[in-house]
Amino acid sequence: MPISAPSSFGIYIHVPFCKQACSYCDFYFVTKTDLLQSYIDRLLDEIDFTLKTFANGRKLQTIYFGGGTPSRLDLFNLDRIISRIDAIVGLEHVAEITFEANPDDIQKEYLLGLKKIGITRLSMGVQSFDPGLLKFMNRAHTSDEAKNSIQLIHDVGFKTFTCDLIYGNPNQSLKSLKQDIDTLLSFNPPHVSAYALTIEPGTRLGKYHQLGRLNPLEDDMVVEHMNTVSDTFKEHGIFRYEVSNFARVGHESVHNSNYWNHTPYLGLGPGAHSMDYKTDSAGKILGGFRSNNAPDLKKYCSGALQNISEVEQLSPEQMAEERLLMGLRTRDGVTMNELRNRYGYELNERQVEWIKTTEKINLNESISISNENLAVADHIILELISRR
Amino acid sequence: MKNIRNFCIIAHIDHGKSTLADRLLERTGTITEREMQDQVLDDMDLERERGITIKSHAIRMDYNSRSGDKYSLNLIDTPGHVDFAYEVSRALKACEGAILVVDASQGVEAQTISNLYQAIDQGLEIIPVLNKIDLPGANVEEVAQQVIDLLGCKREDILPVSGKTGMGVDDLLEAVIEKIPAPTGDPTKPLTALIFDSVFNSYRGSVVYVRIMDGTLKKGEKIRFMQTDKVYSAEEIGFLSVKNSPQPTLSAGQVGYIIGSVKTLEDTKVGDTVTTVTNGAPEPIPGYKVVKPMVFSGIYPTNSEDFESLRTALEKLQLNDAALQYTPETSVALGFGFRTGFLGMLHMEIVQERLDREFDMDIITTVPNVEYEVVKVDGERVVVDNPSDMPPVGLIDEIYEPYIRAQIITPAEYIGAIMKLCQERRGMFINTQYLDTKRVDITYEIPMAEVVFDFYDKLKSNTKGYASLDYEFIGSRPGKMVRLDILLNGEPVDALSSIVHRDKAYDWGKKLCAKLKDLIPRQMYEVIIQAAIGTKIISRDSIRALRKDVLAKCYGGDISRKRKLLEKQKEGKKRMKQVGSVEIPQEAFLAVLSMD
Repeated sequence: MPISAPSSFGIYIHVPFCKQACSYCDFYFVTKTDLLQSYIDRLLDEIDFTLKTFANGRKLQTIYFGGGTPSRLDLFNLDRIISRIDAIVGLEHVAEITFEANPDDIQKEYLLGLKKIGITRLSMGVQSFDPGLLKFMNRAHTSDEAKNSIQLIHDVGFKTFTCDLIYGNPNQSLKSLKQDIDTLLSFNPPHVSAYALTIEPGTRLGKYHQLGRLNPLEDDMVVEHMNTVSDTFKEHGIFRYEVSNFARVGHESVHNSNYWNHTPYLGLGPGAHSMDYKTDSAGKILGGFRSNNAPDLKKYCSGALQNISEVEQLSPEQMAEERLLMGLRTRDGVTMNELRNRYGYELNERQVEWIKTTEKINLNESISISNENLAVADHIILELISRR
Repeated sequence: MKNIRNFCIIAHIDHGKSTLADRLLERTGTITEREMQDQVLDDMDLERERGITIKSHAIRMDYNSRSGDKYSLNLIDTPGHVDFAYEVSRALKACEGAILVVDASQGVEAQTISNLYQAIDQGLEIIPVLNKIDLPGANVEEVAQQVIDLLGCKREDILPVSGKTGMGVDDLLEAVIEKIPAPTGDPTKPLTALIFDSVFNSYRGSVVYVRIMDGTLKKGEKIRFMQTDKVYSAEEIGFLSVKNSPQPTLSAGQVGYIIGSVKTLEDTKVGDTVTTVTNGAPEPIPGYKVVKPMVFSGIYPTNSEDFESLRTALEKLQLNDAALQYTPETSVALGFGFRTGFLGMLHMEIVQERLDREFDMDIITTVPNVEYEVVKVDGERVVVDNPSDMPPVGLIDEIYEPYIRAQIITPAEYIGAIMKLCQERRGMFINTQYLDTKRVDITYEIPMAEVVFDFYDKLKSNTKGYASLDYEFIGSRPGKMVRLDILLNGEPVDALSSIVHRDKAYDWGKKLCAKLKDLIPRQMYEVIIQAAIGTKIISRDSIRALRKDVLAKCYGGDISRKRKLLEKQKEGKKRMKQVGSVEIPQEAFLAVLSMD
């Protein structure tokens, strides 16, 4: 992953509408649609109000529709959104427009429409092909719908696409996981995001867990799942380039990679996050910020222009630590040059000493964590960062 | 002098002493209801939260009796915990009478009895009171019978009151002036004033609370503290009301305060006698004792850079807590810190909490222990209050450990559970005595070391909270003690060493290893935990290497959360102590205290 030119940025659009609540999901969403039209109007307003200022002459490189469930939007409204962006900053430099969709929303006409509007990359929320697991996750689609939807993506001919998979579910056997992987591989996906199930507080699973009605899979088993996922995809030419992301060469997600290499992004819609920073003329970061819209659709639709709920200022040191915490999760790691030149961050003696004695981090021109140690990446990152 | 009454209230924790005191203050108009913060006498936050009185205080109330005479009533408050038994004895000494408060639903408890016996020994007139009679669970007649058995009084002598509603409080005030004798003493004799408490005020220095036994003290006179032999001048003297009320003189029978720019509590010890420099008393009031710490523990700053701040904090704490003692020590695991001596476990907890709350100190406390006297084979005797100082086994001839006599009062159904507990704690049975058909007074002699740990908690949990404990130190006896060391990945961690009885060492070591296994977080490699006596490993456990620690999703909205978590974890790691290759969290150093 090359470091994207500082003169570019991305847009994330949060579409907070879902047919039903998945048991594991802690993203912001609503299951009612009464505010949908109002949301579209507000989103267009937000684009008008914020995009030009944020762009500040920089080139738009990626757009990402995430959710919630973006496929709850109709083509007409989607077209209005993309056209509005085009009218303000232009789409000439856009390399990737990703659109998250759920299998139960997918028909051929819809996909053809998405392609026509300019969506380049479909992200399909498959999660599993196992009916039992789909039920456990409270997904709205069936195993067949999942298969059909992927076939349709092929048929319509998107430039690239990705499928989501969740492994490490309670009671999930290795055999069941392998079946999911094999089914997915039969569709020859160019990209897969495979996540170990995380039980988040506030979700249905979180509540079950709190009540003691859920036994999470043992860590040892989850790691075995993780290795199976990584090894099997690798055998099929789909390589792990981040803890949970796997791609054929050239099919890595540009938008997501940009999160990890600190390319600025503007978040639109309730609950969406933004990040930007300032540099000196040599490209050295002077300071950054992260902000997010309140995760509150009603408030968003009420038209209050100031719905940013939180702004965090980041020092170059904090930015450097972020870069490490994200970069060390990726195959490419972070180069010493980048740390030095962009963040003014040098590894100190304690850190270097620790890296050398524990051998958990590869240290050359760049630092990175090998595939086999990614299962404890957070621990390694903490150890590294806390030695300052 | 005939219109003065000096008295205190004897009660077990939670039996409503402070609430009743509040009512007395209200009824005498000493404090209006509007000014009344609940439990005025307990003015430290900690005291109010824990519902106990840590330090004794005193207050003067003006009372117009039903017969129309004016009286000065001095209520001297006493601490309600066994750690502060000596302070109680001095407070009793300043009184002629005591109100014995017994909770009508709980009955008589050990603390009550031990303080009551002290009061009777000192010749105090006792006014028995049943409190909380308005509560649904009150067993008025049963508890009244207990009181009759205890005091040999008549049923009609026992006053029913409710501190909560104020019922019976007026009768109680009348009983105080009728039954409690006026103080005796000769205002013309040389001055003897008993210090029953002293508190430190950062503007005025030590404020000394005294009962004048004989003589008269005039404002401005030169005074001498007879035990510490320090001379000051009585710059301000007066009565203790809600605010200090300065007076030109204090004379025999009166209770009041003395302020004399005394810079440290060290000079104004509880139990000491104040006299005048000219025409001073030849002898101090008898009964003075130097209070000695019984429990010792290492206190270390979590961040080693805070050592000097910790020293300053301890210095300041000592200003108003003369019983607190500390000396610098070092630990391989924890760096520079202090070996700190306490009166008991409650005192230790109070000091820890005050360091945290009042001084914002982040500290690590090591496992508390008692003081041992070790006789070496060459005949040399050394005092050991830190496991690290224990001489090698080969050099030890004999170890003496402190013993206490424990008095436990319990409902009879728990006798078995209590005897089992005491037996487990190497206790020697001395006596049981039925107080009535349902309640028993059990006496054991137990090594102090066995009580230092969770004895009191265990006693409470084994008896649904009904048993009460009182104890006194009765001297040292030989004990087969050994030092138990803990090794992590082969490296001894000195701050985890403890001194235990040889017969218990195996069990202890096993439990401690298991507890540490729970408390030490998984690291990237396996951690071997061993317990050893000398070079002999007696127990082993291990913490498996960390297998999984990675966030699944790290996108636009996750980064901020992840960074904040990382920053928090970074702070958390600062609080861990690295010993060799192993990181140990603070709680691990007190693991022993939470062992089952």
